[in-house]
Amino acid sequence: MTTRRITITRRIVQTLSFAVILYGAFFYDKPVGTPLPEIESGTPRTNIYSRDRALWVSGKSTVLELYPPTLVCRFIAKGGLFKACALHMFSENLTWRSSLAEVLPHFFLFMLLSFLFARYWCGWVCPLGAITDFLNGTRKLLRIPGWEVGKRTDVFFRGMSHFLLWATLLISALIALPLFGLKGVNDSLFLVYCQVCPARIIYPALGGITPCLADTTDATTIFLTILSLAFLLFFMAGFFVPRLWCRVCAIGAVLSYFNRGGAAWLKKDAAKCTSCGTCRRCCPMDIESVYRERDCRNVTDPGCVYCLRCVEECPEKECLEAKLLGKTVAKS
Amino acid sequence: MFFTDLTAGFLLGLSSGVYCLGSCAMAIAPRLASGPEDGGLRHGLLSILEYSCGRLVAYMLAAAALFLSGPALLSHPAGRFCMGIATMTLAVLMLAQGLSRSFPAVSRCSRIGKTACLRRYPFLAGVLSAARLCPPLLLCLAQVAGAGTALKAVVSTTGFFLGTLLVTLPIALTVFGAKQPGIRATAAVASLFCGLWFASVGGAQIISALGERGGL
Repeated sequence: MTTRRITITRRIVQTLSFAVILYGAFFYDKPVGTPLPEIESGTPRTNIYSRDRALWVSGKSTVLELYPPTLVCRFIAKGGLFKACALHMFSENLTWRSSLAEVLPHFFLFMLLSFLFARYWCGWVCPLGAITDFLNGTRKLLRIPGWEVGKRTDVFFRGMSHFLLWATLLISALIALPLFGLKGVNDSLFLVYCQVCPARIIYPALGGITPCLADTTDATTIFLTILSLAFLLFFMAGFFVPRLWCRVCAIGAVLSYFNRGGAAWLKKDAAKCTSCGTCRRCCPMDIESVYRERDCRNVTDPGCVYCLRCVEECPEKECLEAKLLGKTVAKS
Repeated sequence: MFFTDLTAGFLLGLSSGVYCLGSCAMAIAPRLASGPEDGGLRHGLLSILEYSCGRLVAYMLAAAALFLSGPALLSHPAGRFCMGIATMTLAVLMLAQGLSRSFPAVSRCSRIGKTACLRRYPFLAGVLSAARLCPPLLLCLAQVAGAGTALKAVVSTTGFFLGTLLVTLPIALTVFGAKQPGIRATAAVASLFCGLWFASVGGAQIISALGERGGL
C-alpha cells in the first residue's frame, strides 16, 4: 500500500495546483484598463505588452503579484492567480531595467522558494508537468509503446534547457541597450522565452482563449513562431516520452541549480542497495545517478523532479530517503 | 591626416563594441565553448584572430566595392541579396558545426565535423558575419564612402577593425567553458539555434531582395 501513497499524494497536489493556477482567477474579477484590439479579437501577440500597457490576455490583472518558480504563465485566461513565471520576471525586469527596490523582494522570494523546494516545483506543482504526466499516463493506459531517449540525446536536451535560460536572460538585457536594439526595446525579441514556450499556447487555450499561433511581423517573429510550433510538437511528444518538455524547460534549468545544495535532496544508503536497477527503470527523467552512485550519500541529480518514484519503488527498506530541511519526507 | 582617419575609425569601432560583441559572439563563441576540452587560452585567442582575419578580408572587400560603386549599392536589391546569401551560408555553417558538436556519436554528424569548411570555421565565419554588414559596419562604410581617396578609406576601415578587434578579444575566454561538459553541450545547442536564427534572417533578406526583381 505504501508503494502507491506517494504517487497518489502527488497526483492530488498536481490536480489542485493545476486548478488553482489556471482557474483560480475565475473566482476573482479584477478588471484593469481597456483591452487592446488584438486582445478583444482573441488573438494576442506576445510582444504587444509593454510596461505602460501592461495588459493581460483577458484584460484582467492578476490576483496575486507573485512569480512562483514554476511554469505559471502571464497569458492565462482572466490574468491567472499568480502574475507570471520567475523567468518572465527576470526577462521583463532586465529589459525595463527596473530598480533594485522593485526587483529584490521578488528575487529573494524566488531564491527562498527555489532553495526550499528546488525541482519539487516541477514534479508536484507545474501545470505543464501535470499535463505531460497525464499525456504519458494515457499512453500507458492505452498500452501504446513509448519511445526511449538515448543518453547522448538527453545530454543535448539538458544543453538546450541551459541555452534557453541563458539566451533568454542575455537577450532580455541586450535588447534594452540603445546600440543593440537600435530603436530602444526590440519588440520582436521582447519576452523571447514566452514567445516559444508551449505554456503560452496551451494555458490560454485551456481557459477558453484562442492563443496566437503565428506572428509574421518580421524575420525574427517568423523564426520564433516556427520555434514555438516546433516546441509545441515537442511538448506533445511527451505522450511517448515521460516528462519530455521538463528536460528542455528553462525554468527547470534554473531550478536544477538548486537541486544540489538546496534544502531538498535524495539520500541513498549504498550498503542496503542491491543494484536491482528498479530506480533507474522507473525514473521518468531517465536519471542514472541514483542507481550508479556508491560513494556519496546525496544522489540528487540536477534533472531530478522529485516525483519520488524511485523511493516508492525501491524494494530495499530505508535504502532511499527523500530529505527536506533535514527531515525525511519519504523513504523506501 | 591618416592618423585622424585611423583614430576616427578606431573610436567608431570601440563605441559600437557592444553590438559587435553581441553579434560576433553568436558566430564564434559556441564554437570555442563547445570545442576540445584541452583547448587553452592560446587556442581561443588564435581562433579569434583567425575569425578577425576573415572579418578584415570582408571589410576590405566591402569598403572597396562601396568606394568603387558608391553608397547606392547598400540599398540596391543586389546588395541585399548578397547579404542574404552570406547570412544563409553562415547559418548552414553554424548548423553543420552545431550538429557535429551535438551528436559526435552519429557517424554522419561526425563526418561533417571533419570537412575542410568546418576546420576553417573561424575564418569563414569571420568573412560571412562581416559580409552581413551589421549596423556598426554600415556606419563605418558611410564614413568610407565620403573618404575621398582609396588610401583614406583603407586607413579608416583598418581603424574600425582594430577597435572592434579589441572589443571582441574577450570572446576568447569562452574557451574555458569547454572544460565543463554542461557548458559544452549548451554551446553546441547554441550553435544550432543561432544557425536557425541566421537562416530565418537570411531567408527574409533574400525573399525581400527577390521581391524587388526589377532592381536585380
